[in-house]
Amino acid sequence: MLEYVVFVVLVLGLADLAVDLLKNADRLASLFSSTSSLLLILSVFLPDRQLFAYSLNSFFKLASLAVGISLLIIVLSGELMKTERPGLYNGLLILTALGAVLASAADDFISMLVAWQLSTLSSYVLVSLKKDIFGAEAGMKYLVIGLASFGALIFGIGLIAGSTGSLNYVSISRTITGNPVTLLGVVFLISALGYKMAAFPFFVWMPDTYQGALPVVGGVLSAITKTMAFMVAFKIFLVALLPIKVLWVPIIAIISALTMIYGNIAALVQENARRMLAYSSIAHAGYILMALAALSSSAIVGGLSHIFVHAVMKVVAFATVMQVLMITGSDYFKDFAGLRRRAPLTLFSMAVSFMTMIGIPLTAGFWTKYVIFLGAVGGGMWWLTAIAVICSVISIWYYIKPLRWGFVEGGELMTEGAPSRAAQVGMLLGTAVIFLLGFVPSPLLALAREAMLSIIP
Amino acid sequence: MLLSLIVWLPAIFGVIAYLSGERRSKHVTLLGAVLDLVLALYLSVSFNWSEAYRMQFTEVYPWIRMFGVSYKLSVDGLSMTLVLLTTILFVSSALGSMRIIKERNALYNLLLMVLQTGILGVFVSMDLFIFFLFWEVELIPMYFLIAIWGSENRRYAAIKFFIFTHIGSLLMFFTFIFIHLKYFWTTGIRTFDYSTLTAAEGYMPLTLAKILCSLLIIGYLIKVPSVPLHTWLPDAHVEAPSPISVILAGLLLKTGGYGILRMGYGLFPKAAASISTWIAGLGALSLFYASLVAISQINLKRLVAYSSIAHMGVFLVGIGSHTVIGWVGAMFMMFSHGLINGMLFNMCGFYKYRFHSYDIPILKGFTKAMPISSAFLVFGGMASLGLPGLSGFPAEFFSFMGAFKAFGYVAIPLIAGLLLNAAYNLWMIQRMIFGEQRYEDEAEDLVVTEIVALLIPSAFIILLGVYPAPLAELYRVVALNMIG
Repeated sequence: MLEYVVFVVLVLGLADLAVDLLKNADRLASLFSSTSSLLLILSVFLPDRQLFAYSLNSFFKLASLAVGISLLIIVLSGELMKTERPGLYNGLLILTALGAVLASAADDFISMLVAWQLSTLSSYVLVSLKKDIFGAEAGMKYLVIGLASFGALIFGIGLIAGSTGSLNYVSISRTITGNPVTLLGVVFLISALGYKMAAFPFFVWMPDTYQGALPVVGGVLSAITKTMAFMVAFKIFLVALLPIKVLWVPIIAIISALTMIYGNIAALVQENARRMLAYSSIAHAGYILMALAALSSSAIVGGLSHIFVHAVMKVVAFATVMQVLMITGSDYFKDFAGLRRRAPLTLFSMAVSFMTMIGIPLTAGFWTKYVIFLGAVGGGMWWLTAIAVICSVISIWYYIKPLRWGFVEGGELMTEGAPSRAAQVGMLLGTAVIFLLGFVPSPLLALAREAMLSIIP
Repeated sequence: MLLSLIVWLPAIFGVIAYLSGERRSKHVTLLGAVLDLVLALYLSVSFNWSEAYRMQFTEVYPWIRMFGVSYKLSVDGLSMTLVLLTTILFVSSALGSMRIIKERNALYNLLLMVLQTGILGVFVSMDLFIFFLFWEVELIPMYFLIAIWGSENRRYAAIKFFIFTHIGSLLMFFTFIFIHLKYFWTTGIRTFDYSTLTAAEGYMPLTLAKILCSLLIIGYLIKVPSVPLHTWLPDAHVEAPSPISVILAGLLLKTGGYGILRMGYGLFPKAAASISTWIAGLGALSLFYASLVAISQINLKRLVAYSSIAHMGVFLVGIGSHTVIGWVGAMFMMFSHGLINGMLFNMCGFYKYRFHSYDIPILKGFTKAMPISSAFLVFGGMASLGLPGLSGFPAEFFSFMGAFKAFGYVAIPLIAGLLLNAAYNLWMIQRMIFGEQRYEDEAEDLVVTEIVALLIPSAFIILLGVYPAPLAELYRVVALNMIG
């Protein structure tokens, strides 16, 4: 069954590109993309399958669930329906998502690269959609740095494949040894994946891209592309490169610490919602990398489940920012004043997504952070946990700031307009997921545990 | 089920109040608060007073087995009385809000009732994790209640409150996790159950236990608050709307005190006993410092706020004496101070509503125009200074008895603290009530809802002052069991 789901989604994506030729087909286009997202979500309930070199197992399902929910919320937020060519853009969105889940399912480097390129090439076009100078800057930065990172990825894979004589993750892990060549390969891999994850110091493109491109891009990049980067990284490091962990654990640990520190501190001074979310996304990359560095089973479960939660909370946050932009025309915090009368539901969803980013109890983000921190302590990473806890405390400040403008400050909006009903459904869906997992985190953690066991038996 | 009902009923009523619109929400809230008070009275009647040290009305449901978290509610004598105090003060606060809160009523009432659920949850949860969750739940509504409905400088006060108390709760959470892990590493059982984890102190060296216990108690001292961690309190109180100050002084401070007793002394009996002297010292410092500052205030609400710190100083002295009688006094102080300061803060709100100020020079001289209000103010001031026959007296008396028993002659200077306490209250009464009468008819006296809001705590203040024996006996049973 599962392999057919993948095919159907692929066909829907291509069909959406064909819909581009029709006029006034925006409803059809978003019907295709919402169907794809539902298929990706429902694939969690189907039995495991093997499709070429892609293992469609629990690891794939975790990615597919995260990407599916993100895709659904993005489609519901309706941003892409307003563009001139909805067919093309919805098609690209589906392909971005499909590539992302397939890349996480890949068992060897070549299959991973194919899916990776499917996803990133589609996202390059999505980022370049906006036809003004900021959009052009965003698209250019993302494209150039993305291509450089792809070069680094290929080079890293080449070095590792060359020194082990294999492209398959499992066979690499049998023969790999720590030597200067593999170390160089690991460094290149980390930098390539780090670009997509926006880890320190590879994140520089991110705030400008988020702010300059269409608001939907922030959602796509931080929910779908980052999910892909993290899942691929977890699979490569935990399967192929596990025997040489002494080489990469210190690097990942240091990058994780710097990412957390830089992301959280830089976010403090932001006055623009999308830039703040970009830095918060960087900060969360640090928490997830911490799980990889700690390498205890509990930390990995926490890391994998935090990838899921990160996708959901970021996409909800971006969906709310999209609505705010639509209503006020600005996403600077000071323009949030007065929103509470016009868009109370939007503000509420924003508050929920920010609360879960802080890790306030009874939201999903609390549990996943808790498991990561506990696992990191168990893995002996005391110092990293301490940094993470301090960073979490600091983060309260920049998440509260926009909420204070929205909820507390008075003020009247000069503009017309209110959020659309579909967008509200999407945001409420996301907040429901966040709250449900906040009260009953066990299903998510169980899925993450299965995902871990499916790659490291 | 009774405890769950008591805890969650306010939140349910809060949601109903929110949905029933701006005008009716106040009445729904009041109804919810009164129903909860009735339930709490029923709880205290059906509670077995002679075995107050025993946990009663226990309900346990496993919640997240993976981490050993269970939903466990239970009350002993201390918790039961604090539940009663909470429901009393929320009725008083809901009545006090009736006229004062003019805008965004629906949201206000929702937050108020969620706050009540949070506070009640803190007092009855016997699982460390649930305790922490409820502890966090009270912070968020409180932040918004200060930040939205406060006076001019509200944003600063709200964020200061949030940061201070959040640091406290992180210290607490850190210790909880540490105890949890320590127990897990030693026994292989993941649990947050309070009565199980009381054994955890035995699994660690005393030095480590002392460090953890100190961190935990510092976290609670922020909330109590004790000098020098008190600076958030005067700001928060002055900026908060007065019905919220009632909750803040009457109950939020008590969650800190309750935390010291339940968690500090409960989880680390030996370690906490060894740092008791420090706690008493901080208490004495708070008593003197806050009383002196209170004398110099011209802002009535700030004065009452500092008197809160001073009274909680007496509470800390009682705790720090680590004697049964001292603890009886301290617990008595929690109950009595909640009533007295709750009442005084409510009155600050009533004055602000009429005169648009808290400054004593602007307020004074209304005795002729507002006789009922003046009577209540004199009564409140007398209760606050510890007049025999009112509930403040046994509280202070027992606390100091404990201090004399534990520290002997060293404790004698504390009497001076009581004199200061009397000084600022009497001087406040003198400035407010006596002297030139400046208002004639333009100042409206208290209306029925306001009188009821003050009468409910007053009744308990008199009752406990005249006949403190049952409550004191209850606390004696609890304290005897905890100190051993």
